[in-house]
Amino acid sequence: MSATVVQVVEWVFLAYFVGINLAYLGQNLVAVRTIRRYVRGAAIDDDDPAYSSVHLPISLVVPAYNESTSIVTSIKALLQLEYPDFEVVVVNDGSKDDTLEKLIRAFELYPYPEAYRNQVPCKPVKATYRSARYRNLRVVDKVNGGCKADASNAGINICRYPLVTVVDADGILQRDSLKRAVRPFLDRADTVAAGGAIRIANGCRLRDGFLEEVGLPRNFLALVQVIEYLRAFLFGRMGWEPLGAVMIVSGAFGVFRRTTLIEVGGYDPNAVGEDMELVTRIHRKMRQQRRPYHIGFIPDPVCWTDAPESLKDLASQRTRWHHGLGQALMLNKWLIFNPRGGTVSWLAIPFYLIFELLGPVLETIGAIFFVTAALFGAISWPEAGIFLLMSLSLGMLLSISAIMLEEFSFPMYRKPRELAKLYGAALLENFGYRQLTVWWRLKGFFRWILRRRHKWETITRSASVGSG
Amino acid sequence: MPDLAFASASSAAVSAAIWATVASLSASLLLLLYTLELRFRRRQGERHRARVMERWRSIIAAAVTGAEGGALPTAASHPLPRAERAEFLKLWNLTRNMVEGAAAERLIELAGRLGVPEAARGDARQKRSAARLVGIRTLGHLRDLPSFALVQAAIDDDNPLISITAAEALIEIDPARAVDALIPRVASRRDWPRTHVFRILQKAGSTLVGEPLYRAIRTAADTDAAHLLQFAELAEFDVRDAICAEILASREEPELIAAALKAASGYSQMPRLDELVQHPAWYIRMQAARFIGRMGRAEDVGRLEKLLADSEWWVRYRAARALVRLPRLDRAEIERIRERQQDPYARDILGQAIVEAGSRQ
Repeated sequence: MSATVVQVVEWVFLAYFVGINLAYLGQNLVAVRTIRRYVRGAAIDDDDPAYSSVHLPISLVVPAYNESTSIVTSIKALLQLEYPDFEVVVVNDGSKDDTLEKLIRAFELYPYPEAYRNQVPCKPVKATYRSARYRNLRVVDKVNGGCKADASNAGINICRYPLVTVVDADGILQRDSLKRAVRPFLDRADTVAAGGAIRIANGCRLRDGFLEEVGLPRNFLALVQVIEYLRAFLFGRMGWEPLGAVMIVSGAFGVFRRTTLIEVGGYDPNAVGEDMELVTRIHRKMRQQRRPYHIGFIPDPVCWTDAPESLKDLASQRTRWHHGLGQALMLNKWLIFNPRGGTVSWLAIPFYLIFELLGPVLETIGAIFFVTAALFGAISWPEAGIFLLMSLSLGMLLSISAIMLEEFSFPMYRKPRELAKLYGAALLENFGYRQLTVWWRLKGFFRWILRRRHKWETITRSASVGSG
Repeated sequence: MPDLAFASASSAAVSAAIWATVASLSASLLLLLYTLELRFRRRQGERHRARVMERWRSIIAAAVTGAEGGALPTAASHPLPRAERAEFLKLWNLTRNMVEGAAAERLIELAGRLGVPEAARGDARQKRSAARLVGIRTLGHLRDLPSFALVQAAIDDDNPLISITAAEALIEIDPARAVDALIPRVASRRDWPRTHVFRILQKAGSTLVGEPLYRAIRTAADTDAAHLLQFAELAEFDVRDAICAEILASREEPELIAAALKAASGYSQMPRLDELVQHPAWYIRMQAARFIGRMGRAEDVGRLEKLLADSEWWVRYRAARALVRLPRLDRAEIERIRERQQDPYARDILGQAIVEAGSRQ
């Protein structure tokens, strides 16, 4: 009887590991094809005046809460973006520090009685300001809404252009980010949202809010996150793009049609992972209304973000992400195996549900089972070791394929030493780091089950990143 | 519990796990080697591109300036291999985009001598959108008349970038025929950015655009006509006035009336202004306020004051902006108008418009 149970469990976990890795490898193959097509196009299009002369005006919404240390540099950098027609709307979400005062001084803001329509819900606006120095800069000072979503909604209400991008106040954009991110909207008229690859800024050198030199972080946690981001963006997103099933447009940088944002009701202030919830809701609403739409994704690195370098910050981030994933899926449960849901309902949602949301639960049960079974002699230690090795080698394969995709698309880490460092991280992440992330995601899973609420989070900045 | 060794009943699962491990480790190794090869090939490619650019940059520059006695190279003296074509076309199109007149003619001649028109026609027929885009753009820059039909077919492409690039190329090839082909499409292609369409039609010139636009608006359905009216300012004044007057006198569709109000340029076309400032559709009232602001007559203050208390924000806003921009009203007079408003919304919106006008000065 026990032998049968052991066999069944072994096969279940074998099937799970092979299943998850086949799914990832499938995404990988689709991503290779998509990226190849994109890169071949990009090589010709980069300097083509067709792209530089056709543009859609963009509003950049920058929610800011207690960003006093970096807000001025960030906004100055945003104002220097290479794009012919854009505005910056900073939303001070009732910061307790001097974020607003610094903005007022640096940009010569003056109160301006802006009258606008509240088209998506948000906490009341206290005042609006306009810059005497930059005609395309406005600042909204509002009552604290407790989350980025509420601040983003205030920005959506007040911005004026047909495309809206919500960017993190501490995000570092490439100078040509907007030009690149707008391309899915030019290529397809039914594009309602588009995202681009986010990269890790730790270890890079900055000057005046822009990236001056790309580098890898010395901190091991940040280094492993470089690999994770490559995995997440280069095949996690690009693999879903041609299937019409991109489920996440990163909160750090994503472009949306303003009309779509308003139609779906903007960001949900109660959502923990407001970026994923919004995109999942767009899928749901569009499919419920049977409207053609497209959510695009480009592999170009458009935004660089600061990764947490301490276990505490990283744990908090991962717990929150997982909590947000569960919430986003359940808030839009109409999509789960819905006959009208297409690839979203039948491929993406099951993938996120089984492999992403339930993944840490299954992996933890599996680990406990194998250790217990080995301790009690139900299986031999070498046998348990084989399963452990299989899990590690499959994980390493995914990381190495992500490094390959980076090299294949827009390689940023050009030095041989950097490549070696990435391979080292791909190997070492399997010993401790992956297990920790499983634990944090498990905590996030239970937080979601217990319906715990999250608020604005601040992550301690990396010492290696600072404005030069 | 029994001890299960490799040869036990579970050995099949263990064997599968061993095979999965071996396969993934082997695949990892292969991917690592492939990554290194990619890096090597990329370096080679970058060097090749630099060499190609260096070679053609000097030839293109000589063609632009007419250096070396104006003698242009031929395919025999300077063959353009397929491997160099993409880089050459990138450079040629960029340069062609910047020059006109004799320099443009010499660039076109250079391309002709190197067999570029044939290659561009091939590219324009390709499925791959990037190659098609370059092909169509090149044909436009070459003003390649034999390709008119080929480029015209591309303006109906689903991809907005391909179609609008084709529209621009058509205007370069033969503006008169292009305008006739384009204007009916402008009504239906709402995915074309308005500013870009405007710029393309502007290249053709108001003499060519006016009549086809007038014809298209007269025969189009109401919503299409309203869309086309956005480009009315490209037509000559008399044509534009005739279009607007005809619509305002004879059509009832609110969106069309609003579009005509937006395009109208004189009171001669405005027999129904008092009716329009009270129209049930708010956007007509808003366009009426804008129209009055454009005309700038002091006797319209009363009409604008009524609109300041409108239930719709945009109507109030446009009326307030029109008021503060009226040429014969000074700041003190506008403040007096503000103070006498009974409606708090009217006072607020006029306050905003005063601040806005102040910040502009």
